[in-house]
Amino acid sequence: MEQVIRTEHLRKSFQNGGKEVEVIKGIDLEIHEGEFVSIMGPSGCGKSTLLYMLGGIDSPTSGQVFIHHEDMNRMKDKQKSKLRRKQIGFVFQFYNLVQNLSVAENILLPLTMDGKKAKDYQHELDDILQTVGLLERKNFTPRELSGGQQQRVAIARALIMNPKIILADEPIGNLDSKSGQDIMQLFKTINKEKKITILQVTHAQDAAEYGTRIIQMLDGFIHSDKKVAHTSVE
Amino acid sequence: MKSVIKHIVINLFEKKFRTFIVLLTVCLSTLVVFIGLSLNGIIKDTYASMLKGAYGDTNIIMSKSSDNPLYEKHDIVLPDIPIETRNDMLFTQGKTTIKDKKIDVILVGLDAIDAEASGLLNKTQQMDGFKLQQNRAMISNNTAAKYDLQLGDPISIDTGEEKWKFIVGAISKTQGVFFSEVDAISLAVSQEQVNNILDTTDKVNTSYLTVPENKLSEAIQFLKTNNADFHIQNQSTAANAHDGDTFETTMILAILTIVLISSYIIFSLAKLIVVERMPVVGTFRSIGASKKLIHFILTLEFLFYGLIGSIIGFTAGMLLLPYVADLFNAYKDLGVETEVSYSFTYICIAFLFGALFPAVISHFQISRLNKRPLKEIILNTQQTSQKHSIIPYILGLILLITAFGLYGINQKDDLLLGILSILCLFISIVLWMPGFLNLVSKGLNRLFQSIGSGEFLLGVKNLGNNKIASNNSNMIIVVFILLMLVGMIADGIDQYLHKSLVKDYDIAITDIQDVKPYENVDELDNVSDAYAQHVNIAETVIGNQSESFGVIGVDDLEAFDSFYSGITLQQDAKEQLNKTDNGIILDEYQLERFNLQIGDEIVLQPLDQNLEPMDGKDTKVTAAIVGSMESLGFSQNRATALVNLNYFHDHFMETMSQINLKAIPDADLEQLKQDIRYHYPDSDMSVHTFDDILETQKSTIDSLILGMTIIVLLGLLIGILGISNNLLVSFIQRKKEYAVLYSVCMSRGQLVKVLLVETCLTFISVVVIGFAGSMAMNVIMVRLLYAIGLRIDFQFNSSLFFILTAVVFILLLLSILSIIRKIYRMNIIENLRFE
Ligand SMILES: Nc1ncnc2c1ncn2[C@@H]1O[C@H](COP(=O)(O)OP(=O)(O)OP(=O)(O)O)[C@@H](O)[C@H]1O
Ligand SMILES: [Mg+2]
Repeated sequence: MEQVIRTEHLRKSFQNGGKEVEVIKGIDLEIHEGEFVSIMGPSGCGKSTLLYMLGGIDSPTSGQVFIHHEDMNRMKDKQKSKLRRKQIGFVFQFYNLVQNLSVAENILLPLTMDGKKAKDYQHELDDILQTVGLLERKNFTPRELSGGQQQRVAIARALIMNPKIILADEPIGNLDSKSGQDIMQLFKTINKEKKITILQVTHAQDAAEYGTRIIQMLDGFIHSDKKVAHTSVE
Repeated sequence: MKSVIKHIVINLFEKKFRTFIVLLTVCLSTLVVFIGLSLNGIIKDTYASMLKGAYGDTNIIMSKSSDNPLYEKHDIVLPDIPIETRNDMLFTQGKTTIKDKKIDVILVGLDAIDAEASGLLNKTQQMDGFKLQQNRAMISNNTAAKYDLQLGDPISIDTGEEKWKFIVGAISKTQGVFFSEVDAISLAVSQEQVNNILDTTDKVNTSYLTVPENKLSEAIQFLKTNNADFHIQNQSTAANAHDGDTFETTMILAILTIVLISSYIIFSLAKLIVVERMPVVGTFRSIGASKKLIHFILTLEFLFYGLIGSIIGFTAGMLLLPYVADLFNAYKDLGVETEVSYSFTYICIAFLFGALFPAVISHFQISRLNKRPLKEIILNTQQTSQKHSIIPYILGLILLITAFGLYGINQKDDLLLGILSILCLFISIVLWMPGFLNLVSKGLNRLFQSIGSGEFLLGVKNLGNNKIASNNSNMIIVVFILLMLVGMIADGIDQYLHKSLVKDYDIAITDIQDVKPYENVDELDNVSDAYAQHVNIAETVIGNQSESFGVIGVDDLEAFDSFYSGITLQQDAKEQLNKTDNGIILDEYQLERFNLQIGDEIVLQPLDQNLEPMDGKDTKVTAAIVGSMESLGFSQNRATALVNLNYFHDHFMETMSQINLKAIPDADLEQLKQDIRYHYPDSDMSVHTFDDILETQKSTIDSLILGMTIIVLLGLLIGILGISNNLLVSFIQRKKEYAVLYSVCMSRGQLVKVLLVETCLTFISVVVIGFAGSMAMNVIMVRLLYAIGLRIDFQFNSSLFFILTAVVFILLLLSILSIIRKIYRMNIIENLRFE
């Protein structure tokens, strides 16, 4: 299968009080089209940091990230942003919505920034709102939504451009188990039907098992990397 | 509690720039308030000290108001009140030539001992055994320095028929009788010698008296009744009659503006700081700190800003005051020292303003913050979206209507109503601004929905609904309009002087009690035309407004009309005045202002030299209005009134009479001035050219304009500080927003594009709203300016508008450049995580 993401000797360190602390300590990873990968690991082991680097939001201290065989280090800011817009949908641990825009405007943001007209996508918008169950809250501002609802807006925003890859940092961390299951089911469906590659960070074993592969991280290293033995019934 | 304080102190040091700006704003406002308040008093004191320099302790000046101005000392009937000092003097004129230079000389015959005792002389050098006797003279150290004269030098004086030789026997400080040596020098000599020159014995023509201040009015009353043919002037009213009124009002208006600007800036800063403190407040509240404690600690922080800022501010104010006051000393050329005094009250007011104002303002902000649900405070949900409530708009509309309503009602140009209506307009603009920006944003959004790029549309949206973006525009517009306000007043004052007055004469003879002795002045060489103007000041009160008219008694209206082109008589006013004995012609502005019609009657109270009712009692005159005129070019306060000369003589007295002369083309006016003085050697008249008069007016007004300019500049400085702070802080507040946008879908270039769109729109809105607001101000301000006596048609100050526009442009440009730099350097990840 087509390789979508690959990293080579990926390292990241932070300056902390004059001391350099290495957080990602050389990660080599390959992810193929259509995979649904769950990254797990104790708090602070570097999961979010890894995800940011994969999405081109942060740059590694050394090593490379390839998206569709293209070296991210060599991309200009503009190319990277285009990549993020078109190929990658990002869902953040802290929802990160634009506060002064409505739900609909937030979701359509990547479209409009890609030079498309919002009004041509009303149908897609409604579809996606339907999917995340926020059709009635279309014109609310983020402030007027609960944490879980905001997370769902963020997910809708990640999906609107039909990206090839979704990077989700604890997408259901703030949701009740029912909504969480719904979102996971949604992920699974789009993963299957649209062949969208999904990479999620999660702390919950049952959420991880929606995926096809589980990577355990420990202190900046990949501790284990296994395929999921599918036992769950759809 | 300790930890909260520690946090705040750390914050103060970390946000050095912010702390600096807050302190500077507080410091500048304190400074301006202090200097502004002190300046009025200082200018008055300086004027008083100028008068004191000229007249010593004298508080009554007497001279004779008839054809023969000479009298003997005992002609004056004195009241039974102790006279502290008395100086009887005899003035005459002559000429001398020093080093081939022809110089006018005023000879003052006086008693040196008496004069020195009352401060009219002050010897600094003298020859051995000097006495002011035959052929001895005293000069000022100014003259000594200017013409290089020493003790023992001879001066020869030409009085027309004869030549007199004097020896310089003493040199005095330049005060008292030497005070006004501008284009002539004064020579103090013995009285007998001046009597010799004039071929008289024991005569004098001016007497200076000093009586105890509490007996002054009694003394004047007595002198008036018992010395009918004398002209009696109250020197202490002269000190108060200084044209400080307009000055004071304008100054106070300007100070108010600065206070408004600083208040607004401090207000916005307080808001920002309070918002910024939210996370800490949240954390502390979540672990159990009470609302009260938080409130107390935050207020403490602002108190700290206030205290430090105002201490620096008023210390700087105290240090600067002498220099600033010196700038406003219009009499420096005359050697008057600036009288700097520090008023405890003003220090207190300035200090209290600076120290407490920030705390009070922040108090409201903190209360608002504390009202928010605890959950929001703790979670610190970033509140960048703008809430649009309807109440401010309704309030704004009501205020707008009130502003124009007051404008309509305020027919009589009441000052208070004028200020009130401007204030209403101003607040209504401030209240409407967010709505206006929202409207612009919505409109543009709709307009460009299908053609605008995503970046453009996002920028447009932010202008309307992003609190921080619209806050910036708000602040700029507020400062902009306030400065336009001050600027337009300053411009009005400037126009008042430079553009409205028509030069209808070349030389004026003033300070005369009676025009008769001078009526033959047109026989002098080089004089082409002369007009003797009989003038009295009369007061009228209509409604609750009063106005002082300069009433002119006119003999031949034709001659008057052709002499003065600054006055245009309307329709048949001339014929009507000729027909009606008690007729009066007023400026059309006054008719409109007091809602008077032709045929109405007006009651006038003539005032004497001391601006008290004539003869000390109610001597009101009722005149019938027979016509109107346009007199702006003649006198800028448009308060001239014309009556028939006979009527004038019957009911008014000549207090401000003057003779205006036109010279033949290319005549040497300085020479003509000397000729006139020479022609009337024993008169105490003043002779000035039109340009001299304009110059003295100009110096007062120029210092006023200077004051206003300084205030505009200070306001601009405070404004720029506040705005640039706001712009930079807004970046800090929006970092997270930018980070989100970046991480989701935008390149840094696109972020910059959005920012550019916002900034351009801000600039355009500022220009548009600033223009509209200033136009409205321009209409409403007419009442205010008319109320303070500037009755001119004044226009929108377009040059100031362009300057301010340019300043805003540069400011935005600079701030945007620094923000762009920051966007490119911003660490996205750090901002994506928590705050
Ligand atoms: N900007 C930064 N500066 C310094 N250290 C950082 C920075 N960002 C992350 N770290 C450190 O890197 C480590 C990994 O952080 P990261 O956010 O990737 O953890 P995580 O695995 O996502 O944890 P969690 O499950 O709690 O979200 C942490 O120890 C953190 O302290
Ligand atoms: Mg994480």
